[in-house]
Amino acid sequence: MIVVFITILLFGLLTIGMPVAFTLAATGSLGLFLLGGFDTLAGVVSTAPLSTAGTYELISVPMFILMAEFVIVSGVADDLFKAAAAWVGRVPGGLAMATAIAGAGFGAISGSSTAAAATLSSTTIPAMLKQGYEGKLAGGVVAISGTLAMLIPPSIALVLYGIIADVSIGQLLVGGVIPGILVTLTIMATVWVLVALDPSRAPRGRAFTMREKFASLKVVGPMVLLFIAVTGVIYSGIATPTEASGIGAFGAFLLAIKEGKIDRKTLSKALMNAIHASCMILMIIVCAKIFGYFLTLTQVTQSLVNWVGHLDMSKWVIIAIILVGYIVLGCLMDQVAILILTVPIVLPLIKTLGFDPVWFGVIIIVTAEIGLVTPPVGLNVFVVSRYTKMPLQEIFAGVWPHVYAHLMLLSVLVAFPEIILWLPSKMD
Amino acid sequence: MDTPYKALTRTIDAIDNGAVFIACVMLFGLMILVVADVALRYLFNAPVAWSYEVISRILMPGLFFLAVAHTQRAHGHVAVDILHNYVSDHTRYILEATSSVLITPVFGYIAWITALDTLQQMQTGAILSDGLELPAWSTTFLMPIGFGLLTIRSFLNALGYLSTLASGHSLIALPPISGTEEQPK
Repeated sequence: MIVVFITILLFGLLTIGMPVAFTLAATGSLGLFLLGGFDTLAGVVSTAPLSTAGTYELISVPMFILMAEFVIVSGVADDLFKAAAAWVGRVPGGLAMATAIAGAGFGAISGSSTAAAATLSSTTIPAMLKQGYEGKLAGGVVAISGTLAMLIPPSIALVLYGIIADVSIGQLLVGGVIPGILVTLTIMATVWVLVALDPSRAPRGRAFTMREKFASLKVVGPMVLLFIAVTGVIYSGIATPTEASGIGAFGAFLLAIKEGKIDRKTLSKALMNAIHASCMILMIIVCAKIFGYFLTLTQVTQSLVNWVGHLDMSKWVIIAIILVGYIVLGCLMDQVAILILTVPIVLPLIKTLGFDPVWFGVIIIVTAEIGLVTPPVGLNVFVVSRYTKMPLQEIFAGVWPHVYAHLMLLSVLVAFPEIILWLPSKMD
Repeated sequence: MDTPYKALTRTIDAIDNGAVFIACVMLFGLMILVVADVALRYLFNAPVAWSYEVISRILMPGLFFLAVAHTQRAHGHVAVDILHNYVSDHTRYILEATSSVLITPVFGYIAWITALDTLQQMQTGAILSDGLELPAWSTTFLMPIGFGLLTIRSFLNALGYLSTLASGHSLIALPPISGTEEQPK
């Protein structure tokens, strides 16, 4: 009875717009009080916040966020698009494809999807519109390409999943590489189909000389170095993901210095943005911990796992239901909040059904990418709209073909787990 | 009502600014410490012995608890604001007031309990069991500070929203709805 009351209260408070973390703290505390009085509540709240915030592995969260901020300050992300455009800009829909490549490149040195969408918006959309691209096509491809940062390592979302699910963060990050490449290719293929259906959507660009093409590659050097400094050292086992996150942030900091972009103003802005974003995530984790104690006391997770375990239903049907649930949640809520709220409940189920937790981590991130571009809370669409002043409806309309393509790829990744699990299995 | 409220808000803003400045320094220090630790270990086989303890006892909790109230002031704590897109500003003030009124006692209680704990540790002189043998309060005191500042900020918000509803004059602005920040009205 208490569980039902607290769950209704949780959804009620979320609906009226109380911050997700505060809602968890309020309902979790009330639940603990109702179950065990002030003693139980005091026991949890006097220790859980400090021990959670002091979790060593969590330093990857502020470090990867800081890395993304420094990469943005350095301005190399802008050059990535120019380099990609020099190589593929001439093919039909080339600039849109270059956007996907730049999104993947940015994703390889940054773990924040909204940062990626914001950075891509400022350079790619003006270039596409100038060349006569349809606004819908341009906005849609930027919004979906921005989501790649969430999947391609370093990925803050995968780190969080790893911490909550107690799964190897190194394996998760490496597991994101191949799906990341496949999502990039899927975006490019979708653009190709859209332009083949109606060539007027994307007029061809000018040709670039070989000299221009090779000159554009100078940006790739520092990018590859940063990628190796993070994902390379994790894959080879030289450093732990936690250490690699610090190295990545420092590498991005040095890159920004080399580009002459660090001064007191940019440094304090990068630090402040990183601290706000980190605090937001840490606060949800801390408050979810309080709520988690309440759930544990009620044993509701165990009952749910037992109930599903006794269902006469194929495990593929159950995983399909879970993924549809994630897509629906993704339409309503922030991806990080969804991960922190649901993984502790869903993961035991997934393990009982015999699925691999590394595979599932990557799968829910691919699923969450869809939530970032679907209404009403498609955050990346908001970001693109804000930076380009394009109407939301136009970008949502442009993103639909990518959502369908993404769903098709998702079903392939679900059907063939080896695609995700092969690379992590080769790690030291 | 107006002047004391604004004066109090200004004071708390200043405290929040100071706290978040320390948090930013801690974040930068965290980056430097992690890199130095890895570099010293691989190059000279001499890792920083106290890095793990300083990071998990001081830097991580510090950057979080010292910045958590400032993040609230910057509307950085993510919320589901779909409903806010469809209701009037007056209704939004009611929703924000409800939210702030409900959360203030929760944070207040946590701040109170953790402050009592910290005081007790100061009196008994409890020591942390790991390497540096720091006094226990040197890390737990961050909790009453973080939750205390959150409590005061939530209380100020509750007061601001309620007074706005009562007087009809906007004493505190509504938080921006996702995606609408920086957009021209």
